[in-house]
Order: sequence, then structure tokens, then C-alpha cells
Amino acid sequence: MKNFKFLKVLTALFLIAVTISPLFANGQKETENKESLRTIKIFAYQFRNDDNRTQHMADAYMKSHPDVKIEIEEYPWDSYFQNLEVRFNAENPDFDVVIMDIPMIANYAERGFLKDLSKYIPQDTFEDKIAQKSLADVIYKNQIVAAPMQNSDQYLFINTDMAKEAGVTLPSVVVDNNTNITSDFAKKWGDSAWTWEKTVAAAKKMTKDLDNDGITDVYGLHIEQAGRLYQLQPLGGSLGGSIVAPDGMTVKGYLDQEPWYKAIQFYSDLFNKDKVEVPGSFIPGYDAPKEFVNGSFAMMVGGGWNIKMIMENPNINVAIAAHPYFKDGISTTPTGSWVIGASASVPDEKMDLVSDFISWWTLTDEGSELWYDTNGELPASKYMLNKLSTNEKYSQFPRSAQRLGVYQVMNTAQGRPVTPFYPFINEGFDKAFTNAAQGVDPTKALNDAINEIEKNIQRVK
Amino acid sequence: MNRKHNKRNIVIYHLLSILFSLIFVLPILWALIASFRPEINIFQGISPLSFKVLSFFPFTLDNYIGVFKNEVFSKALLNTFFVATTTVIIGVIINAFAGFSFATMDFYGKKVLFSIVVASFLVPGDLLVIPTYNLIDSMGLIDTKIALILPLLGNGMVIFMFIQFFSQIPKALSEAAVIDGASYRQILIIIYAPLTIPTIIGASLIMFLAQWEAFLWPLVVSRSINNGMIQLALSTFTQQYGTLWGLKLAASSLLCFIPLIILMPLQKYYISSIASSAIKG
Repeated sequence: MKNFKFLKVLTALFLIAVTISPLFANGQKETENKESLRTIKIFAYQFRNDDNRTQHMADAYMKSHPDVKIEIEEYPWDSYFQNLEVRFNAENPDFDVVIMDIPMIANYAERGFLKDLSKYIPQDTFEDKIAQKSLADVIYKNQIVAAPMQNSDQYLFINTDMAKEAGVTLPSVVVDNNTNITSDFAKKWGDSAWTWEKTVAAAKKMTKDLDNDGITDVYGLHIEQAGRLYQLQPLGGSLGGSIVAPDGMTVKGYLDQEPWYKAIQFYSDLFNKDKVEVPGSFIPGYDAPKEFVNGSFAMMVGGGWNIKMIMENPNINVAIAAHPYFKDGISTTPTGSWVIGASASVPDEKMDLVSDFISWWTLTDEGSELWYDTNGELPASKYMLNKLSTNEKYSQFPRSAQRLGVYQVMNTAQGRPVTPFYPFINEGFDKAFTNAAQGVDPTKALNDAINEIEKNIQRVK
Repeated sequence: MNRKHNKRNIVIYHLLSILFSLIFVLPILWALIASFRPEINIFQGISPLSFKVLSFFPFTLDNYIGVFKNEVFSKALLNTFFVATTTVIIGVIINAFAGFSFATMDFYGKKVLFSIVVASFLVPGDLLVIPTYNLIDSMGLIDTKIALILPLLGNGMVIFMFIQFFSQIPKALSEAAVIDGASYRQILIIIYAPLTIPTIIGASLIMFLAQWEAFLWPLVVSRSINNGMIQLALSTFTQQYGTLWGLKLAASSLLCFIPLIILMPLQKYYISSIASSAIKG
């Protein structure tokens, strides 16, 4: 009984202490507030797990701004999106700056998660500093909701030994480890791209059943990231197709047009009629670059992020050709990559600091060059694109191969749809092309996906 | 004739059983075997499919060495053991007390509270992540081990298990103890707990596995390497344009086999405890 009384008194004292504690904490809180206004918290995508690329940028910024503290949270691809979704939806996301995948930004902006950066950095500055096509991809409802950090590029990698053995003549201008790539060269290289028709013809020749057991041992062609919108958008794009309406509100009248029916039929034929594509490539985690290097297929349409690994592999001889296009169409290539924005939860008094950091990273010559030297992906800033094309520092292969990417950014790049419904469109598109590749009638696969996408759009509109 | 028929049926039955078992076992077996091959040979024999797929050769332990040398993973492994064990110890006590109260006492609002307990394990956990995050954030507990443990202490399923078990114990036992002057705490600890060992083990397994497999909750509340959990560490082996397959398969095999090593002997004990429990008798 005595013990119980003691417990009661203790509880009462504890409650009183908790209630009045803020009275004594004011001074400390003020200091904390001041410190928090000079602290930038970054929610970052982990570009690689064996180095700290974002930290490298933060260190450089803190060195020139000793009064600023930067804290970084980094997440890999597998856990990044789920985490960001929960945090954006929480009352306090607890970060100021966020690194995002470009097709998601319209969705985040529509839900009010992002600041309009043009309120803090003049739009003219963006136009002066960022390549026009990259800038267009971060504008949503006339607001600049993020700043492009980098870009992406696509190539046709050809195993030259397999091509030679099959009697395939390479495109007239290709790149290998010894090619001196200049801006003029890049144009000639771009102009010499194969059509898809030629590519499939070559792929058929290179598809081999080496031991005549009726099972294909080497496939002729593989398009990396099987079935994904980013990778396959150029199929419809080359035939003049768009995916969504300009306002981003519907795919009807766009994805259900002739270019896309032709595109999905073509993709299905690669697997089911021409049988040149790798049927097992839809297994989650299928490592296309490694399989290419191992000789599982002879040609790969894939990203510039593979150049270093493929071209430096001593077991394989490879030529890099420009991305294919349809005979009666135009040349288009996928583009877009990671961008950096500010959380809508950042208080106004802190936005000067946050926008200065974003501007330093993406718009200044110093920041964009440091990021390119750190991360190595195709830049989005005009300064770096120009420097990459002309400066001796970047003339050595494989880095010089990105001069071909500069050509793409300036000439053939086509961004993904800017729409808040991108997650639905992406999922439907992937499903349609994956199903078609696996034997579903392509027209039915596309129509089913369009209905599903529209239903989802109407549900949340 | 009949005997022949029976023999044939048994053979067909066993062949079908083996076939179905293989469907379930082969992928796990492949992951385990491939984890002992060098990165470049991980997918050997997959396309076209051949028996090489189940070969240990060329053999290497590099993937396992790599996993243990990986600071993120090894720290996460220790953290997960700590968090899971703490959750089990504290959680079993809390849930047992809750189950005991529901099973043996009558109090105001019992039915409503019981409905909440049942609903809590019927609602998918992911739905509760945002409000729970807000709560933990407002308590200033983000990136602490308490944040990892606290929301998983109260487990509706485990409370339900205890209620079911305690309800089967004759009330005469507790009533006799009350007449002898025992408090409820004494009744639970001295009389009920020894009879409850199978349920305690079952509850411990559920709570341990809940922490072992947790992904979304640790993902949103743990920020630093000091509070990382294993499922998060596993995800670091997958990057946007590639997967470190050797490390991922080695880590996945470890994550499967460590709980198996812990659970198998306990499961045996669990089953025998049920068979010999006072309730059964």
C-alpha cells in the first residue's frame, strides 16, 4: 500500500515536470531554431553503395559556407520510393532538399510536396544554365519544381566479333575504344544510326543455336530494362506517338493511336515472331549488361551508364552505334534522370539557404562540374555539356563517349510524360509491353492497359 | 489386383509430392547454391536451363566474406538481434498481461477493447505507418532503437493467442488462488505462466519474425547505420542499374537460415509442449 502511494506521488511529480519543462527550455529552443535555419537536411538517392557522392557535394558546399551544416539520409533504389512516399505524407517530412527521379516530380508537385523554385531563383537563370530539353521536363503547371542534376543517354552496343562471324556489316560510323570523338564526329555518328528494320535483320543473323539442339544459345538483340516505359518510349516516339495529352490528364487519343499499336506489335514480334529477343529478360533483376558481356546476346540497346563496364571488359570487343529508329520515322532517344528540389515544408526564412544550395549544385559552373566529376553521368547544365564536348580533360575514352550523349540531348532526346498520373501510366505501359512480349495479343494488351490507366486516373482525378 | 492398384497409387502420390516439393524448394536451393559461386557465374545454367544451375562450382566463399565485411550489413545484423530480442522479452510480458486481463477479468469497455485488438491484426500494417510515424516523430524518437521496438510491442495477434489460451484454463484455478489471498499478478506468474509455455514460445516466434522481416517501418524511422535493420541492409545490394547478386544471395541465405537455426529446435519444443500441456490432459 505504501509503495502504491509512493508511485502515485512519483507519477504526479513526473507529470508536473513534463508540463512545466517548456518554460525552462525556451532559451535552448531559440538556439536550436537558429541552428536548424543553417542546417540543410537532404533526402538522397544512393547513387552507388560504395562511395558517398552526395556527401562529397555537401562537403564542398560546407567548405565554402562554414556556417552551414548539411545532414544526409541516403536510400538505395529498392527502398527509396516507399520511404519518400511515407515521409512526404507525414506531417513533418524532416528534410529540406530532396533528390528525385524525374518522372515522379509532377505527381509530387500536384500533391503540394514541392516548392516552386522559380520563386527563389529567377527563371532566366534556369534558362541560361540548363539545356532546354532538360528544363522543360522539370516545369509543371508553369512552376519549376526541381532542378535537373544530370541526364541519361542510350546506345546500340554491338558485339563486333559476333557481327563479323555472322557477316553483319556495322553502321558506317561507330565508336570503339580508339575513336577520337569530336562534336562533328558525333553528328556523323548520329546520322549513321541503323533503322529498327536493319537492326532486326542483323539480329536475326546473329541469333544462334550453337549445338543444334533446337534451343537458342545466343540471341541477336536485347533492349535493356525489359518492358519499361523509359526504355521503350522511343519505339512509339520514333513513329510520332505521344503518350499523354499535353495537360497530362488522359492517355486517350494519344497512347491508343497507330504509332503505339505499331510499336507494341514490333516489340512483341522481337520475342514471338522474329525470336531475336531474350525471353528470360523479364525476370526481376535480370542483369542485362552482365549477360551482354557474357555473350548471351549479340546486341544491346542500353544506357550510357554501361559504357565504362562494357568497353573496359577485356573479354569482349564492342562497337557503340547510335540508337535505332523506324525507317519512316524520326530518331528519338530516352532522356531524363535525377533532379533536386525543395520540400514544401521548408519554412520561408530558410528558403534562401536551401535555394542557394540547389542553385550551387545544379546551376553554377563550380557545382555542376564537381557533380559531373563525382558522379560521371551525362550533365544537364549547358556549361558542362559544352565543356564535355570541347575540353581536352574529357577527350579520353570512355568518358569521351558521352559526347555522343551531348549530341542526343541536343538533337534526339524525348522526355517522359510530365503528368501527376505518371505512376499509373508507367505501370500500365510496362504491363502492356511485358504481356505483349510474353504472347498476349499486342492490341489487346495495349487496350487493356489503356482502360486500366484511364480507370485509375478517373478514380483519383 | 487391389494391392497392385494401391502400390501404383502410392508411387504416383509420391512422385507428385516430390514434383510439387521441387517447385517450392528449387528456387531456394538455387539461391543457396548460387551464393557460393563467383559473381560472374551466379546465373550459369539459367538460360538455356541446364543442370549447371545447381552446381557449387566454381566454388567461393567471397560472397559471404563480403557480406560480413560490409559494415552496413554486419551492424544491421547485430541491431536486428538486439531489437528482435528486446521486442520478444518486453512484448511477451505486455501481451500476456493483456491476454490475461481479457480472459479472466470483466471490466467496462471490454468488448470494445477486444474488437480493437482483433481489428489491429486485421488491418494491414502499412496503412498505419504514416500516423505511427507522426506519433513517433512528435515524441522525438526518430532514429532510435526505441522507435523500432515500441510500435511492435503490442501485437493484436499475440494478445489474441494469449486470450484463447487463458480462456481454456478452468476459472476454478484462479478462484481458488484468490481465496488463498493471491494477487492477480501472482496468479498470472505462478499459476498461469508455467502452463503457458507453448503459447509463450509461439508468441515469441511471431514477434521475433515480425522484427526480423520488418522493412517499411525501419525504413522510415531509422536514419543512421547505428539503427539499421537487416532487411534494409539487404536492399542496399540492389541499385538502379544493377544488383550485387553474389552479396544479395549470400545475405538472403543467411537471413533465411539464421531464424531457421533458432526456430527449428523451438518449434520441436513448442509441439511437444502442446502435446504434454496440462490443458490437453
